[in-house]
Amino acid sequence: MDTLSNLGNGFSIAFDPTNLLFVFIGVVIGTAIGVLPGLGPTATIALLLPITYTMDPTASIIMLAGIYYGSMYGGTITSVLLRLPGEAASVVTTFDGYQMTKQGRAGTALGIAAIGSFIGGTVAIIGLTFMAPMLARIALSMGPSAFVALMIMGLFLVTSLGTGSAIKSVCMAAVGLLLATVGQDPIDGSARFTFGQVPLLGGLDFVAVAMGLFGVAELIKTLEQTEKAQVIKTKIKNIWPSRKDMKDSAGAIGRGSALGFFIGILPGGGGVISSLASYATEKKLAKDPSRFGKGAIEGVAGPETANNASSSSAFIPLLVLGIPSNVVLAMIFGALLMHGITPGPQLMTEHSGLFWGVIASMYVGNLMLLILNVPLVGVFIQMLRVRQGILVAFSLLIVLIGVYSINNSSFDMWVVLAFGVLGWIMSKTGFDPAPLVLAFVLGPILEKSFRQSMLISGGSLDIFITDPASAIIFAVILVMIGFKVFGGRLKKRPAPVLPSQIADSTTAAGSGDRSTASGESQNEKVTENTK
Amino acid sequence: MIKKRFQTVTAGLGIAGIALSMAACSSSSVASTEDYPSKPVTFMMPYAAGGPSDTTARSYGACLGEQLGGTFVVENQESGAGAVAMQKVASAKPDGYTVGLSTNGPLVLNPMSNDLSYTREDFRALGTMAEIPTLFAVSKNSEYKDIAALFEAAKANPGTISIGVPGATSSLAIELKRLQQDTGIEFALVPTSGSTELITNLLGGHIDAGFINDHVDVESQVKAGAIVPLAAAGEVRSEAYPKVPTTIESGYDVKTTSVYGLFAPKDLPEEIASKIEAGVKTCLTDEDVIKQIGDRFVPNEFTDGADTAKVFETMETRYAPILSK
Repeated sequence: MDTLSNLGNGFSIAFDPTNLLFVFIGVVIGTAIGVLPGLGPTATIALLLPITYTMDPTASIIMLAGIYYGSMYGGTITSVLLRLPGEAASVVTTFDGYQMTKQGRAGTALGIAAIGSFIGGTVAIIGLTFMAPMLARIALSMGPSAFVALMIMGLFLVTSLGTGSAIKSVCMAAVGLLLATVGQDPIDGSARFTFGQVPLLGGLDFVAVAMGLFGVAELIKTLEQTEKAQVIKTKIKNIWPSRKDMKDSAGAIGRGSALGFFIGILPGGGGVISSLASYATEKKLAKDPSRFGKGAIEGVAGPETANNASSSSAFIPLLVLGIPSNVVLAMIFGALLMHGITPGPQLMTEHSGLFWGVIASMYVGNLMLLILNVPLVGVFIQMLRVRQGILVAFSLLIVLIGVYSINNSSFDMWVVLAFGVLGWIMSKTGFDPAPLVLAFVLGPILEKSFRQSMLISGGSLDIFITDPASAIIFAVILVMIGFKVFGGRLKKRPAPVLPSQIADSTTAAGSGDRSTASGESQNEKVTENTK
Repeated sequence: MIKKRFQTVTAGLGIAGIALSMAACSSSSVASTEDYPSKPVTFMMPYAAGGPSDTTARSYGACLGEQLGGTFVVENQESGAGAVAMQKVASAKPDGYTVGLSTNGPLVLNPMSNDLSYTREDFRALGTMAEIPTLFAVSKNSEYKDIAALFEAAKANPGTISIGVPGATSSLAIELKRLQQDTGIEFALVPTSGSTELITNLLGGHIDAGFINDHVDVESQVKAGAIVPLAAAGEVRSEAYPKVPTTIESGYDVKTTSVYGLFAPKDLPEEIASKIEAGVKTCLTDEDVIKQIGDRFVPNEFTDGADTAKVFETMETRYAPILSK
């Protein structure tokens, strides 16, 4: 009851005309920068930070939050229409979204993304409203060893991401892991593979790599085609997804909400990982996984839902514990500091107006985004009518500006172009960039967490068993391996055997030392790959 | 045209040498030292937006702009662990239109451990803008109730007590390595990506202790009772926790602080340098600066350029034996 009355109070703050205006400004800016490829919420919030110092703290946080989750909506649009990820988390949407556009289903893809985003965002805010303190504690229990386990679990999904052969996917993942080692060593600070290039000390930028492999590579590909071949047949009238589309996506949206919500809470979590995880899950669960990469609507609905859910739940550690879980929230943390408010465990009690006002504003903001986005879908689709030559030139220009804006570094512009060429060569030779990108995201976290774990445990692998969080995750990984190995045989047997088998393997994995020990050896194997 | 010529003439009357070099370099838009700043000043920031260093740069940027009658534009450029930003300052024209914030890491430690095109000596220090002390802390459930218990445990079982530090090349990490080399007290150093990750691991009980910047993020956890400070690292007690002893008074030689200094290329004309230095001095007492950075992080006494440079020189000598390339 207390929560409800607080929330009511929050709504009265959020509906204050000034704050309402700032929610609106936030989500509009968010959508706009989401649409512009490369220009993401990080660069935008950094630019707007000085302006917020003169504003009322609640209004400024409401606006910055709106930019963040608004960008998750906007990022979809160019991913679907041009295969140019509008921002990092939308990389995954290009896999199936762009294929849908080629099939003339751009409207449906954008429509389902908007609906999924709304549902994911709202589910996450409801979770944030009612379960925040409990969830924040779960996030804390995830130490370095648990992250090792989570990252290994993520790498298991690699093979299911690619559309080509499993071996090619594994090769690409290995390349991704290698690329991730460029830069300063996370533990002893020495330079690795920088070849004397100072900008490489900080490693390759994820956005530059992903934009190159997906966006620029696609732009190069369009240059090969004649003008006539490039005309994409797009039926603009089908904006609203059909009943069948909704039915197909319902499961993906549900799972995407849950996955995104959970991953968003984790330190370092957020957009990219949540959408990749959702995509891989959908593909794993699909009756016919071969549809993925060829315009499966679940492949758009799930990840888009997940990245919105994660962008809302990412506020939980910040608002409840004072710990920002990613770069964007670190900047919001900075904005609060400038107002003399230190985010921390006391925020909820000392600044309850701000706390609940921001939460309530997110309900309002998500609704605004849905109302804004559905009619806008038709407008954005018109973009496809622009002559391809002009569109490509402009897209490349905006990509370069966007990439530059991330680190104010012209070096990153070369990185995006180099990876564009690489991505084009990869597509010619049948290598899928998706596993590379996933490994590139997970690699550094895996390496750092593993080495931190080893430092903490003094080099003993026992830490992965004694830490309950990592033990549980390794047990789950074992179950996954079990399914992979024995799943095929089980399917051939009569149906009733299946449920008891699942129960057996779960309990065995959960309790026995035997199972966690093999989890350990699994872990060794993967980290060897990393090196 | 007339104005331009007039400017050149005044500059020439001012300092002959500089005027000569300027006339030689450019005949078009020459800004004299007297009307500095006559165009926006780039304020390089070797860290990402959002942290305490960024807050420092931005509030000083605003204040200096007001004091000197110009605009200071903060440009965050964290790539290359801050080296790219520092390089940009070092190689900029020494005309006062490129300045930058820096600390131990990008200014001293990074060039010592990596092959970079600049060293500490390529910069002209213009004063200390803020100083953030450091402290040892544990989580509330820790078995170490005071600093002696923690250090004695590390002495008794070398390399088994895990201690988080914010970054592998932070001065905090280097200081603990020096401690180990000089006294044999060995902790298991666990570098994290920054204060945030360190605090998370401390709260979750994944590390035994933390050696961390004594900033407001830690303070709020201490207020909530989740983290317990054991000692301020250095000679002075923390203003936030006057009852907590220092490492020196407890008999352990561990000290480091994060000094946020303002820097320009080394050949900056003395006139402009003293103008900016005076500006920094005035900003120390500026209400907005104090409010935004936090009263206890803004020095009460002004440390001028020469003395700021000395702080970093001492740092370099102290860590030279540990950080050989």
